[in-house]
Amino acid sequence: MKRALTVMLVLALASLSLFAMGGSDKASADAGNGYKDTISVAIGADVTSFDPHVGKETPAVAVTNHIYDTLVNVDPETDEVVPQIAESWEVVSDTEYRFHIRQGLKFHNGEDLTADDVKYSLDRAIASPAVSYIVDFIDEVVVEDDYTVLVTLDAPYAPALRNLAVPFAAIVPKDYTSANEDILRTAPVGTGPYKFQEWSQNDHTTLVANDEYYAGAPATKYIEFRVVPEAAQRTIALETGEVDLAYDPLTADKQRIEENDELKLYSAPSLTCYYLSMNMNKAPFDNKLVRQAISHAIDRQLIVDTLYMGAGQAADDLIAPAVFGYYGCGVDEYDPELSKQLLAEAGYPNGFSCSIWVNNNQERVEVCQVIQAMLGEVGIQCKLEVMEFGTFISRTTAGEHDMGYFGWVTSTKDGDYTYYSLEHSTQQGAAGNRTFVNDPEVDRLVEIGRSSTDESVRLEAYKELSIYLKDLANNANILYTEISAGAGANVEDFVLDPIGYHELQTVKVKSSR
Amino acid sequence: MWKYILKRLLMMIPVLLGVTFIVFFIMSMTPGDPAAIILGDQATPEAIAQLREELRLNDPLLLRYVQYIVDMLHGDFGESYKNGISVASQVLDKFPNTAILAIAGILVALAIGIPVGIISARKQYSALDNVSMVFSLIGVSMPVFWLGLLLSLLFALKLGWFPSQGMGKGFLPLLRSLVLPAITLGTGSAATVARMTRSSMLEVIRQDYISTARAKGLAEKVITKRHMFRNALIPIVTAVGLQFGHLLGGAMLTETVFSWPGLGRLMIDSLNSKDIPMVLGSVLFMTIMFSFVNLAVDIVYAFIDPRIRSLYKKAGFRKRRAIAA
Repeated sequence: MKRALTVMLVLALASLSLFAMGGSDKASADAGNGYKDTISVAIGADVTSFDPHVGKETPAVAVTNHIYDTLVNVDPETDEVVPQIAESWEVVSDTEYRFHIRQGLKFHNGEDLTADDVKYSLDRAIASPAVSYIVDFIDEVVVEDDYTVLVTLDAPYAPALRNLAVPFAAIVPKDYTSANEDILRTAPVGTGPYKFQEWSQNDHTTLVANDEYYAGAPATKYIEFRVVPEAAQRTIALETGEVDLAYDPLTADKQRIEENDELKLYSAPSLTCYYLSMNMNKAPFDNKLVRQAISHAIDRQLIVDTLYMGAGQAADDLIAPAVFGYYGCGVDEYDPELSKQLLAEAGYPNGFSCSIWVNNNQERVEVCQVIQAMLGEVGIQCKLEVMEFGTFISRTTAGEHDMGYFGWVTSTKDGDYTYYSLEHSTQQGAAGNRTFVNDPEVDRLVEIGRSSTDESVRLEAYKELSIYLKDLANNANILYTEISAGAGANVEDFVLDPIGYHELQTVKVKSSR
Repeated sequence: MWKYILKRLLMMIPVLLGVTFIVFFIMSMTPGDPAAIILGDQATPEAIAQLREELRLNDPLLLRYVQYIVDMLHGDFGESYKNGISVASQVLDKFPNTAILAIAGILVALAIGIPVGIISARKQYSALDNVSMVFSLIGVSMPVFWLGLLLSLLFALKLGWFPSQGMGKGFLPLLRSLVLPAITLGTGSAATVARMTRSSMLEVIRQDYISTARAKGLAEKVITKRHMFRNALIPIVTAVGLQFGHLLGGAMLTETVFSWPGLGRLMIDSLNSKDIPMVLGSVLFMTIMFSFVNLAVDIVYAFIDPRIRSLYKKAGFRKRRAIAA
């Protein structure tokens, strides 16, 4: 028995050390210039669909935005609209945009990109239930010649160009895709800086550089996106050098990344804002003083510092700082005394009872519990009701709530997307306006922002709107979440995009840290 | 014997039907509209309605169930709501990964559990026994994701011996990437196996034939190996079989912690997105695997225990005699 045990132990140790001597697991080789030939990226979830008009979740787009291009693009650093597939465009009128398509562009399968592909792609996106909300401002796409398309709009729509830059408006090859509408799901073909090479579900996706890319070949030959669902493991993989970039590290791990000399942490406020909508159709929320009192009773910074462990930012506007149109009118001050005073002025010196509704998401529920306690301090007794997402949405759409806690992502990076949906009187209920605000001044400013093609006019309108809404206090804006990524110190030229899908074609990784 | 196997296979049919029925109705009746989940926060009501129509979610529940069963009988397990890829191909694609992990896990469990169990039984109430049993209690109760992370921190980050996550490509990288998940997965099972081995051995130790063997002057080693262990084996095989069945069903936590692309992860993802065909397909497959393992265990009984083997034979003999008469 003893001998058998000894033999087993020795064998086990021997085999352990044999494997262990295999060395580290840095997947990529040196490309010969002191840089790696592969960027390894750990992402939290797998691509659901490689079809850009279907797979719209951030982990999917983080991969597919390297495969596809859009007519125009928004520079993540300058936030300006820049040419991509369209080398130039003219604003013919308020409702007509003419795009001149870059000649000589080829899809990864060798097909030429022409105006027909553009029309086919935009029509396809409009017909897709998953992404149509990004492009449904388009009335018609007219092919004028092989390299010119005219996009006509239903009504003047200023953010049109920014919407066309959203990755869901990707241009796909007509012949290839129309032959089999499902083919892009697993065999994507685009014109982007990287070509699709391999997908192993729940494991990894490999992309290979498109050397004929119009803006020049990418800096690194391959990108390997590895699916690592456990956030703590993404950080460990980054620390061991198994990956070069790790998206969305745990809040608790961020400090570890920052303290490690071999690693860098990138973070910025995301495009997501969480806010408490007060139903203006119901008393006492029809009273501005009550709404202001509620806003002043909430200590947003405390929520960010405790529940989010600092990974976020107290919100002032409904749109995040990285969004076009953000003004920043200042976070409503936490002042329980002022709050009580406002309540007394409104005729509720002893407060009142009401309810907060939220969907069954742990993080959101916790925020609401804190808000519930804070409102209790000024005499507002809130009942917290947690419901399933579908029920939450349908009942708040019907306006049955007193207050509801919502999150909204300005996925076009343009203020109109949020202000129009959440504040315009025509968008009450399902479309997003769940405070049921119906204010001519709000509508006027939202409409200027929506229809003017002059960016300075739009910015001025959004500034006025931001100040007006702060006073109106129909939504108590709570916080912006944070977006972050960890990288090895040897990673060069990585730019964190607040939207969550970062472009890696310029990124290089030195062979040693 | 063959008849017995056939009978057991036929018995799987009602089991599978029952499983599909329960899973289908639980998935369909729990709150949450798959279309709304797929389209996310900002979907318009029109888009959700359109997708519900495409996924045929507006049909009556019973009709959808019957349609599912009819398709299933034609070998069509449907397509995932989420990515539109055939359920069967996804399940079959991921199963080998889970099988590799399950086999490695069960080997770890056997390598640790059986020797520990035997030693504990032989030295009952000794310090060694107590220590082993305390460790096996810890092994059973330790949360898998916690153990996994600890192993990763030590062996991947501090020592750099093994990769922290992922499934290696090629034989050696695969083996290296297998070590940590297999230990994580095997530890819980090892503890169960050890406890089962110990109690089963203890029952045998007190039998008269052991005293006889001792009286015959047989060496302790021979007594342990031939007389005790072989006779104690039936409950151990049962426990190991059950454990293996569980592991084959996808070790969801281990697969998640170590980013192992197996069935368990597929299942978790589908549950989260309420991907009903995908959940049904994976549960069905796991049920089949579990039934097969159980069947295999029953067959193994016959090999390790001559008494059971003779029972099978006798049954056949009786039947043949009845037919002849």
